[in-house]
Amino acid sequence: MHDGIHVEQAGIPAVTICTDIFVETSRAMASMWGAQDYPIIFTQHPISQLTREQLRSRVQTMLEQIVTIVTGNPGAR
Amino acid sequence: MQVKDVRHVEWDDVVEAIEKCYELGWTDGLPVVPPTVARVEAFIEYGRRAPDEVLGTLPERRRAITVAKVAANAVMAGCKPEYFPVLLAATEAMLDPAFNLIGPSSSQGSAAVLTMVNGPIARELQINCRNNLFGPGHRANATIGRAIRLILMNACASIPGLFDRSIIGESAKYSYCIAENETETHWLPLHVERGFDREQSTVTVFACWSPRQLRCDADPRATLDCAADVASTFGTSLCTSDSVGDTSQLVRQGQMVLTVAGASTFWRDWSKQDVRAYLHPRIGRSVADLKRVKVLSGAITPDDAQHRVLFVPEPDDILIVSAGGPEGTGYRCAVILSELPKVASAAVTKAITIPSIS
Amino acid sequence: MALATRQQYLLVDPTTQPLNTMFHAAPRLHDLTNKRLGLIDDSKENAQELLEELTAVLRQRFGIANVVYHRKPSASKPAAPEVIQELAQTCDYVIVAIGS
Repeated sequence: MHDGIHVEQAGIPAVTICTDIFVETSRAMASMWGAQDYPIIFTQHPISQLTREQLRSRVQTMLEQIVTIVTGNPGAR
Repeated sequence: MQVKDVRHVEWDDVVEAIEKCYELGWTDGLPVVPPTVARVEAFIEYGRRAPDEVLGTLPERRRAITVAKVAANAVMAGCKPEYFPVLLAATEAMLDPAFNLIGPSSSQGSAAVLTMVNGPIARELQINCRNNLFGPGHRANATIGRAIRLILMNACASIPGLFDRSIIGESAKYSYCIAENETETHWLPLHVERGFDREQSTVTVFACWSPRQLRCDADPRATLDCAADVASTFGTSLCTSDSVGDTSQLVRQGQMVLTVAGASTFWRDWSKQDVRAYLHPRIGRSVADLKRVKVLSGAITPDDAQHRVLFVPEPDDILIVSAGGPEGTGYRCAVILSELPKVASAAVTKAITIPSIS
Repeated sequence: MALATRQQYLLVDPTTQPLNTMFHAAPRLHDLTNKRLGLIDDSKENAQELLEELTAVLRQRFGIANVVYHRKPSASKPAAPEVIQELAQTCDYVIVAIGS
């Protein structure tokens, strides 16, 4: 998730998607970068064996969070 | 000399001090030598470097690793001051971009760091290169290897469970340091092959798994066939969907180290180059095999048995080290596989600076 | 009595602390409609597929003006600074998967 932080520092919003086994690690890492509240979308582990169908429904659950992160406004269009 | 970051502690006896180090979370699970300012300064004096000199940085964890931090961990490991130059060079090597420390020190795949010492310092410090090569009993091996892990855990924040996400771990993470037996072999030493003078002492670091021993006593060719077979087994770090299974990149294969005991007579007709040239094309599996265990995706087609995927990028990515008890046992080898593809972490060799007495 | 026999020592802390750093989040977008999307694929298994599905659903919902896709050679190494710069200059927002 350093990549997301670097993109933000370069000037545009970045959404980072991580699997949920890395919650503690990513938050600790973000704190180290002074970005304690850097938003990360955590998705259920594992991702690697999901079929396309399953990925398709998984990404549906991420949409709201993406909008919120990129616009700073929940429910924005 | 002004060493920073000191803690004031009190104790009745040294065992209490050892307990204190446990409480502070500074150990690898084994008791450490308390890193008193006096002991740490003695190391820094020996090394003739400034305590605040930055050996390298780990940008992802926002860390700078100084001479003083390496010294503190070296003391804790039970090192002698004379081992300190080896550790300084090893730390520089681990912080080299080609080693990419963030990869092996955080990966779920559990990398240990093999530290190999070449040149005169190996003999001076009596770093074991012979019998019981990877086993206990030699202070230099045990403590230099241990210091490497303490440096990683303490100075580089490779904290198990938090930033070190190894799932299974490796027993070699406790300590993994050897020297090459340069005197009882006709082979060129590793550091000379990698471009250093014979009389220059060096250290090579390699992020890898524990050694897999093999024994095949028929003849050199049969021994290498066994080594190639061991290196080509399913389920190793070289044979994953992230490494050779990822065909989007040209080079996803990994390096390996082969330690060979008794290199003189058993291998009389073979140079290290000969060994590499023989091994390299033999380390790999067919596409059919890789599809069978889902390292490669897709249904198995009739042609797949004929097509091979090699696991090591180039013959030079097989690092060969003459080490282990030499008496008539040339067939005793150990195969040590990289934990990550070469593009993610490669072996790095650095010169050891011996402090000059002025 | 015990106090008189306790020895006092200074121990050098073998751990390091992270260097202080300031993080400044980028300005937010007003909306996601027809934006230029950047993607960083960290090369882990299914990252590409996940990003493809995400792109499809974002395109359907909001429209996408353009996609810039970068696959890292290794999940273990950060994206090169040039890649970050290029994305910042040619995209409106970026999605990174599967970061860890």
